[in-house]
Amino acid sequence: MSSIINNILNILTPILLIATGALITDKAGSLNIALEGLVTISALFSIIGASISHSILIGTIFGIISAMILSYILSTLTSKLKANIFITGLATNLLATGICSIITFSIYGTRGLVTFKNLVQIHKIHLFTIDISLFFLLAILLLLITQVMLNNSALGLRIRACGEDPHALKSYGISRTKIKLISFMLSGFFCGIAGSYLSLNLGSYVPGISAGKGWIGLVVIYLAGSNIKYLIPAALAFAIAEAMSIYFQGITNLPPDIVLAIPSLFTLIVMVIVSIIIHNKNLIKR
Amino acid sequence: MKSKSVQTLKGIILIISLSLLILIILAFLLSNEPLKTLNAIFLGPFSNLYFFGNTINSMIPLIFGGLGILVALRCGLMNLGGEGQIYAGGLATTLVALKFMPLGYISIVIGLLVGFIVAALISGLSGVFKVKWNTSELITTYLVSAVFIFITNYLISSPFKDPQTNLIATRKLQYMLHTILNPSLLTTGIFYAIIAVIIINHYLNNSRLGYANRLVGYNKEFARYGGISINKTYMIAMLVSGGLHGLAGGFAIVGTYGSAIKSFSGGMGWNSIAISLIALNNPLGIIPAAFFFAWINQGTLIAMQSTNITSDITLIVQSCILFLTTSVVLLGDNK
Repeated sequence: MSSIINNILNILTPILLIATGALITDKAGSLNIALEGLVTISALFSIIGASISHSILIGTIFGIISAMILSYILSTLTSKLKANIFITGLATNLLATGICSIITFSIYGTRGLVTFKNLVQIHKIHLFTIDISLFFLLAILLLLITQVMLNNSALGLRIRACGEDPHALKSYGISRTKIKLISFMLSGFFCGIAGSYLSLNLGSYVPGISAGKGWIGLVVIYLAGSNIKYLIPAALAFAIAEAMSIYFQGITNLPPDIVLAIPSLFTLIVMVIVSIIIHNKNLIKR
Repeated sequence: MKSKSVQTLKGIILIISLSLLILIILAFLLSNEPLKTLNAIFLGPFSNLYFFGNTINSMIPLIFGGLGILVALRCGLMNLGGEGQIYAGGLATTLVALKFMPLGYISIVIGLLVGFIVAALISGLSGVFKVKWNTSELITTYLVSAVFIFITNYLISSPFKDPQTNLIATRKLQYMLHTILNPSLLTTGIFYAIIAVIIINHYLNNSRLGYANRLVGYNKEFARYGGISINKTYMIAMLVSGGLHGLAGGFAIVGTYGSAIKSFSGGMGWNSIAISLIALNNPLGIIPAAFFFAWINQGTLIAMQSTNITSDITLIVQSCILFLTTSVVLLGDNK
């Protein structure tokens, strides 16, 4: 039982971080498709940083910086070029994959798995038989901070105005581009921590390490109705589903490829069910 | 009008030049023999008939995939599920063609047809979600495709795996398209790809369905006033888009691979999106765009064989093109 709970917490941590960051861009009025790429690049840079410095903290900072630089590039180029944010987001994912495999190929001579020795373990608090990592506590803390920031701070108000009523923002003389940039950088910050957790917890970097978590992050927001209060239960639903699929893989003989398909399938089903509910609600309103 | 298209053309030339510049910079950064690498990338595909034929051959699935994305884009829809649709369509083509092997070359036709239908249904599923409940097709096409990639992996590596080979692949087809430029891999598939471009061009520009498709993409409300069923148009666009991806996978099999090999389609779907964008929503533009991609892809593959560079640098070029091709600043408003 405790292993299932550990698994759930392990999966919940990155999803929650990614979704919190993506919620900020969502509030600012754009869908961040690049989450997957931001997580991937941070996963690689943080583990490189950690193996050089022998410090989880410095590794994480490496990861955060790399993801924030990438989201800065994404946001600035998109607004400077007046490009379509979906396509540039897609481009960012490809760019991250490309950069990571070029780096692993030229430094470590492989395009596949890179394992690092002498890594420091992520610190965990043992509560009875459950391990709670500092990253999980950080994710919860940052979620609360984000909630306060969005609801009670000037920046939060501006971010929400940017998404809901850009004209109001403009009439206050605040640049929409700037607020969007801030929201993307914050999203990069969160993806950076999530990426660090993924690779540092695993002790290695593999291509595709984000494994669809960026997309799950988007659907979590959708499931929570873009309401930060429902972010934890929504993310928890996905974490439980994925943990269950790992559990069932152990007790049944499902082929691994089919098990790997379960998270996407579950995400899809949730996405469709939520849109049915929203659709029906709108029908009643009319 | 004229000056706008001139600006667009200038923009495209600028985008391609910038992407190539980045490729050159990468070669200097990463290779210990940058000139040899660049020579292999840019001239390798033209250095002999074998490489040239292979370059043209690798255009075939890209043309079908590019057309698939274009049909959806013209309707204002985004199909991010190309990867899975190509992969599953390719497997369906292989299995059906194997089944009907006794019929000779007709087995290829039936196989391609089924590949078209299977991939059309996969993307049609996202179309149903979109039409019925307004579920974002952007996300559902990606998720459905992700599921089908794993299912196809499973089918290729377990129930349909050929025990005779060490590859993770199905049995080999006996009947394939004819090669036309020996010793290269180029097949008659290129003619079918060009015919497909002509058909889609005619369909989008001169047919009633194509008109509806364009109008819905251009201005949904106006189309509705004109009595066009938006839902029906969306459904048709998604079906045709998926079907064309299925053909991309199918032609890759009956032309080049001969059997469904695990991950044979890796990257084709993302390439298709870039190709369709650089073709600026014009079906005829798909051919030069696909040629450009085939050239760079084949070039980096050749470079990888002879120097110490990874072919993943094409991902950077691809992302560079995606970054730039929707730019209103560079291209003007191309709606």
